[in-house]
Amino acid sequence: MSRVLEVAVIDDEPIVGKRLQSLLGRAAYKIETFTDPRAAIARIDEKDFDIVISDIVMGEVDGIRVLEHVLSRTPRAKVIMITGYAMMSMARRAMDRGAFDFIAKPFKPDELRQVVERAAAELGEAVDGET
Amino acid sequence: MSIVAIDSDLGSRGAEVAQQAAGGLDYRLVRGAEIFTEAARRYKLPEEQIRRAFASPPLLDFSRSKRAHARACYGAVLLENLLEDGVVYHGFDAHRWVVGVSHAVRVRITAELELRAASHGEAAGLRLPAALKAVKASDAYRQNDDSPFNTGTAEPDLTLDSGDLGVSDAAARIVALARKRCFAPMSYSQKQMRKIELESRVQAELLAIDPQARVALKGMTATVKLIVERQPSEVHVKRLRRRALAIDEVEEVEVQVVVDKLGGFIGTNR
Repeated sequence: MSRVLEVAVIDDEPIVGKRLQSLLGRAAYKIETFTDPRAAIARIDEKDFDIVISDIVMGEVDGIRVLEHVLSRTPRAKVIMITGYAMMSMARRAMDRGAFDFIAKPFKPDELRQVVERAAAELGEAVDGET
Repeated sequence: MSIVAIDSDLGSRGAEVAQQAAGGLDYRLVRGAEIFTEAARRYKLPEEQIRRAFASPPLLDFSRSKRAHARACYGAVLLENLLEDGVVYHGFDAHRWVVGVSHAVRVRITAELELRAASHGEAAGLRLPAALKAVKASDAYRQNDDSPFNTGTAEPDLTLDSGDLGVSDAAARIVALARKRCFAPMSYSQKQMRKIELESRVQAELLAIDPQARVALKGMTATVKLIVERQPSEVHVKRLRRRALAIDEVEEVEVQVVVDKLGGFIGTNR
């Protein structure tokens, strides 16, 4: 049986974390949500997350910095960037820094779920069915 | 895998570079000639009509509306081919069709004028003066606003001088760039690509009915804008809507009519 994957969701809009918590809420994932990227970075220093879903534009701390920090601590982690300000240059920059994927808001729930499942599969963890 | 879109000046051996790049990347190579044939078959147009839409310079007996429709048909087929990653495309409009798609590497191949004239002359069986004239005419057309080759201010990701580098080195540089992580497809760019492809498909269908129709997609809603001198009939608007809705992925159609008369009256039909 696959282990439970540790997932961090980082977005300065609280509603996003709640929605993703609900979307991904299943036995396969243990989810922590953060609205403050600094708090998220502090937590990342304490704990290895398997998957990190992070907004890019979050005030003073941008998601690219979060991405780089996660990968410097946990190179195998899969970091998925989400943003409401998608631009080609931003997307390329995120991928260049090692992002697993880049998704523009608004997105359908299934779109993100599929990306997370792909990330889990690349980590070698098949995601079990719904609880 | 990325998409590599290669635009080349006449006589710069772009086709050879494209072939070697495709081989180096193990990508499928798509050439403009194949798209002409498929577009003609799919949209039931003479292949020559589609080729003429890209003639340099534009032929006087070929109306703007026919040209626009033919190009739209070409674009729809091309973009369908580009939906699958792992493609090197060398042909018309190479850059214009993939603007904004982050996993599309846009490459421009050029070379010095005299070299290109010599190369084109050899390929086309022309003496040097005639070849030089043809290359200059092609260069002038590329600068024309109406030209499909005019990409406006969009800069390519890579510009290569095949005369300086040689074909193999130019291809190797394309291979190295296309393999960079920043050109990897991602959910955002693939969605962008699907949107562009669907938009072009709807555009090709509607231009067959109305040369003024301009299509923009937001989600699965197609907005069709008509800039006309007289309000079109209800029947015509319904026909446009029906044709757009006949495309599977289109869920909703909004037709916006702009009557360009008496200072501009805007009407919106839902």
